[in-house]
Amino acid sequence: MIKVNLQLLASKKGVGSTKNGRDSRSKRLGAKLGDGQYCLAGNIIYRQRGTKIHPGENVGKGKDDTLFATIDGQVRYERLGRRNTKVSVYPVE
Amino acid sequence: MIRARFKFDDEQRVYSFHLTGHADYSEAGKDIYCSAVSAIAQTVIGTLTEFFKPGQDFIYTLNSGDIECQILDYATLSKENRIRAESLMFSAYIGIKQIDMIAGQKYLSVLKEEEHS
Repeated sequence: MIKVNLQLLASKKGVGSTKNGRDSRSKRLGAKLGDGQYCLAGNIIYRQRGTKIHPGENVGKGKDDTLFATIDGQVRYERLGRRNTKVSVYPVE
Repeated sequence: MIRARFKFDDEQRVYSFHLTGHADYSEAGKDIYCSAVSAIAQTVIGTLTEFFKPGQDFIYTLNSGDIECQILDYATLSKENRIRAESLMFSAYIGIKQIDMIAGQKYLSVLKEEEHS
């Protein structure tokens, strides 16, 4: 079972009046989890079109190039050769 | 506004849903539309984790203002599990559509996208 949060789609409490009523669109592509963050198996790490970031250890790639964790662990963005970047998930000891 | 996007494959199965934004009905803790949509989405994801392997059968995101769930490939599931997954994903669509009927377009919009191969 997952830890349920019933306020994931609610606005933050106590925002200033000048900010009220705005509805900025969430970013759909890009990093969902940053370097050093902990993840669970199945968590989406990076959404992309094409392979900007390559899958590393314990990271799978979906048919739409989405990268996701295949194990629980810590996310690490690493260099792949001179130009490319890969993302891996390493188990926490 | 919460934007809910459901993707259907060519067999009319929901293979992914993506919920973004905030309902803005009320502040956190009192926002009934946020709670209702969050509960449906997380019930489906929680149930999927009971029957399927995350990272192998399905993937998901649970962030503030960003909930996403995707069945990686229906074809790799057993017949029994395929029916389970189809039903769960479709129940998310129906559940959120039902809330859309009472919430109105100010707080929630549901988009159905069909993929044809």
